[in-house]
Formats: sequence, C-alpha cells, structure tokens
Amino acid sequence: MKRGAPTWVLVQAVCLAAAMFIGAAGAWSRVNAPMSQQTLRNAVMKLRSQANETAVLLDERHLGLANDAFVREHARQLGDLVDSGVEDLVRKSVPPFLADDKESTVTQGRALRRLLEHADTDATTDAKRIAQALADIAATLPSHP
Amino acid sequence: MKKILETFLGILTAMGGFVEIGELTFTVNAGSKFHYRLLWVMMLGTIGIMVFCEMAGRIAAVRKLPVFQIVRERTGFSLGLLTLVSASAVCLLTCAAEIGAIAMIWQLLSGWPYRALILLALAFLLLSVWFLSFRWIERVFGLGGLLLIVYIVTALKLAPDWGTLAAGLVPTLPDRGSGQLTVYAFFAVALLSSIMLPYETYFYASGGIEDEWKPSDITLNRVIVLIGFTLGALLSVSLLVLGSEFFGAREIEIARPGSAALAPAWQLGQHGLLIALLGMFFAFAGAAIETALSAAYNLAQFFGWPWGKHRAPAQAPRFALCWIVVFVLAALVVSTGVDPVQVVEYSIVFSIVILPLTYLPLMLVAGDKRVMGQHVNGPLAATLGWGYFVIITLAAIAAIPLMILTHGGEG
Repeated sequence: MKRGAPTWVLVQAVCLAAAMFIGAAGAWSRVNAPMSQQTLRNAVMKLRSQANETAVLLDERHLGLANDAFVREHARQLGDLVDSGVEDLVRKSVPPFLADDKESTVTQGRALRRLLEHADTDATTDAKRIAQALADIAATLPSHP
Repeated sequence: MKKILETFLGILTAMGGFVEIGELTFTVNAGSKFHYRLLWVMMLGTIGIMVFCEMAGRIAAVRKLPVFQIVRERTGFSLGLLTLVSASAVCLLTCAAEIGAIAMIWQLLSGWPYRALILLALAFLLLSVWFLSFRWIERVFGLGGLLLIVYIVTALKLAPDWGTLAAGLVPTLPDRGSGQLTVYAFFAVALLSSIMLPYETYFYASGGIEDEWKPSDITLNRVIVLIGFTLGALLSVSLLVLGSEFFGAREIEIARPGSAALAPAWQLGQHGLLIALLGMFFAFAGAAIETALSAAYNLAQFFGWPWGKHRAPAQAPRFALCWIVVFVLAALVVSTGVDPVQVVEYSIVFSIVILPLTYLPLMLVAGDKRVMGQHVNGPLAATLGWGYFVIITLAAIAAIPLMILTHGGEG
C-alpha cells in the first residue's frame, strides 16, 4: 500500500472480499436449499404476480391497446418465467406439512403455463381465477412463521 | 450559442442516460411493494450521484485526472488492483444484463429467437462503438433514451395523489408486524445503489476528458449534473408512480423489461407501447456501451495505457481490445440462459459494496488544495461528500446481508 494511504482501505478491501464470498455462498444456498414456508410463499406470490400480469396483457389485447405480436412474444417471455418457477418448485423438497400447498401451486403454475401458450383473448378470466387460487394458497402460508 | 447548445445537449443526454434495466425494475417494484415510501431514497441517491459526478467532472476539468488513475495514485497498486477487478466484474455483469434486456426488447418487436438477438445486439453494439465518436454515442443513445418521457406522461395520466407522493420524501417505515422491514431496507439499499451506480461516474469523468473539458467548463459540469440528473430523477419518480398506481394496484411485480411497457400501453395505446419499447432499447443500449467503455477506461487508466474514443483503435489498441472483450464476455454470460434481470440485481448489490472504494480516493483528491487549487471542495461539497461517504459505507456493509436475509428482496 502506498505510504500515507489510510489503513481502513485495507480493512475495506478485506470486507469486500468477505462480502463477495458471503454473497456467493448466499446465492448458492438460495439455489440449492430446501424450501421453507417463507420461500414457498415467495414462489406462490411470484406466480400470482405473473398470473395478474397475464390478465392485464390479455385485457390489453382485447381492448386493442397492444398488438398481437407483442402479446404473443410477451406471453412467451412470461411463460418461460413461469416454467422456471414451476421447475424450481418441482425440483426442491418441502417439509411434509407443505406438500399439499406445493402440489396445488405446481398445478396452478402449469395451468398458467398452458394459458400463456395459447394466450387467447377470452382467457383473461382464467388468468384471474389462477391468480385468485394462488392468493388463496398464499393466505394459508403465513409470511413470517 | 455553441456553449448553450452544448449545455442543452449535455442536460438532455444526462437525462436520457439516467435509467437502465436495474434501476427500471427496482424502481417499479419498489413502487409496487411500498408505494411512495421509498421516494426519499431516490432523492438521497440523486443528490449522491450529483455530488459524486460533480467532483469527478471537476477533477477531470481541472487536472484531467480520470477515476482509476486517482485510485491507483491514492491507494497504491495492490489495493487499487482489487478495486479495479471488482469494478470491472460489476461493469461486466451490468453490461451482460443490458445486452440481455436489449435482446428481450427486440424479441418483443420482432419475434426472433432470444439467442440470435443476443448475437445481433452484440454486433450492433460493437459496430456502434467502433464507428461512432464519443460525442455521437452520447447523443444517439442519450437523446434516444428521452423517449422514456412516455413514462412521465403515463404517470401523469395515472393521476397520483400528489400529497401522498410528496409525503414519500419523508422517511417512514412499513407498518409494524407486516414483516416487511428487512425487504424495505433491502429495497432502500438497492434503490440507492441503482441510482449511484459507480460506472456512471467512471464514464462521466472519462467523458469530460474525452470532451476536453477545461477549468472554464466547471460551470457546464455543474449545470449538466444539477439539471440533467434532476430531470433524470423525474423519469425515475415516474417509474415509482407506475409501480404504485398501475402495478401495485394489480399486485404485479415486474421481472421483464417488456412488463414495464404494459402501463404506457394501458394509458396511451399501441403508440405508447412502441415508444416505451424504443425508449428502453436506447436507454439499455446506452448503458451497455457505458459499462463496456467504463471497464476499458478503468483498465487503461489504471495501467497507464493510451485510452479514449477520440483515438483511433490503432492508437489505443489495448483500450479498444478491452471494450471489445467486455462486450463479447457479456454476450457470452447472457447466452448461457442466465436471467438478465437476476444478473442486474446481483450487479446492483455488488455495486454499492465497491462504491466506497472509488468514492473515497476521488473525494480526497477533490478536497486536496495542492491538487485542485482554487477549485478544491468548498464547505458544501466537503460536507455533502463526507456525509455521503458515511451513507454509502453503511449501505455497502448492509447490502449483502440484506440480500441473503430477504432472498433478493422477495421476503
């Protein structure tokens, strides 16, 4: 270190390295850890958000606010997100008392995926129904157990 | 007249270049989750980036010293190198996210496959930086980014409650018992980081040297920073309004850039949708170029290589090679299928972690009368400078624990 440079810069550098390591470890555990009640709830809420967004997207097409090409491609991007969320759910284990909730969420997620594949204008109600079903599941999972 | 035009263009490009994919998603989702409660963080961040860039621009105008030359001189080679590696990694991650976001926008417009569009975006960015001068890069992408004004129009049409919005300037915590305190803290830190992204300062200072700023340009520097960034912050506030009034009301959190365009489409129809998509394309492409060039500036300035867009690639070959490599690596990162929005979330969190490492050396130089002479930090700049140093250091310490505790802001 250059003479006169404050020693706390060294401390900061060590903290930075430690922070990067902790961050990488955190990211790794985020991907690989089994699902807690909270993480399952987060997954449900994410799918519900995507179902709500699907309803808006289909509404916009119905009202002529968004063109077919945009709706099709955005539905495809949303579908990929739903896919990865559902796959993540299927891959991860949950405690036995959450098994039913996980199964119901996967079912709703797959229904949303099918809906996004076709993105029919009259499917807005179905998207809203899926969002409601997911909200009901989330309501049974307290946010902070 | 030329000076006035230059100032005007500088303000507009600063405004148009204010938003990138990370700030867009974090701001909209902050509005969706917490309505206007995080507006004070946006004000804090905007003043912070003004303080940081004003100092960097002033040093560039007075001493022609770019950020990473200062970092090396003030902290020495070893620690400077650590800062350089961290800053370059964050620039690379941010560039990768911007390229992925451009490909997603183009996919919405063309229907072509995502990976093919990543390649096309890479070619477009390489050709743009190769053929356009620094000034034209700023103008094309900064002025193109002004199409994002469609979000301000949309926000106005959503008719927010101005009293509630203004109340957001006073810090308030989420309701007790909602279990949202840590998520709120994470969003506060992430939002601050997304506004004070360090690459903006590297690029701004290097740009001042590229534009051959002199001490007489200090006023120009201040006007661009004060007015341009304030107008840029208006864009960010409009995104917060959209988040609260449109997405929050429908319980949506966005995870794709195209999702943000649903609000202008709802309010303004297909024209609003198209303008929003084009505005995002210019803003993200501008950010991709800024991050790639920033990484190249940093490396060249640290090692003392010839650098600058004003030099032909043959005159600054290592600098040119650096930005080409950054673009190619960034495209490779997103080609793996990694989610660009998740990539930018990580890059924003790591940005705040490294921010104090570049902020402090810059502030020490700006406050050194032997270096800056009569243009040394005055009492206001010094007070704000040290105040922000404390704030960003606290945010840097809190960032990663908060990211882990909240599962990246999910709760």
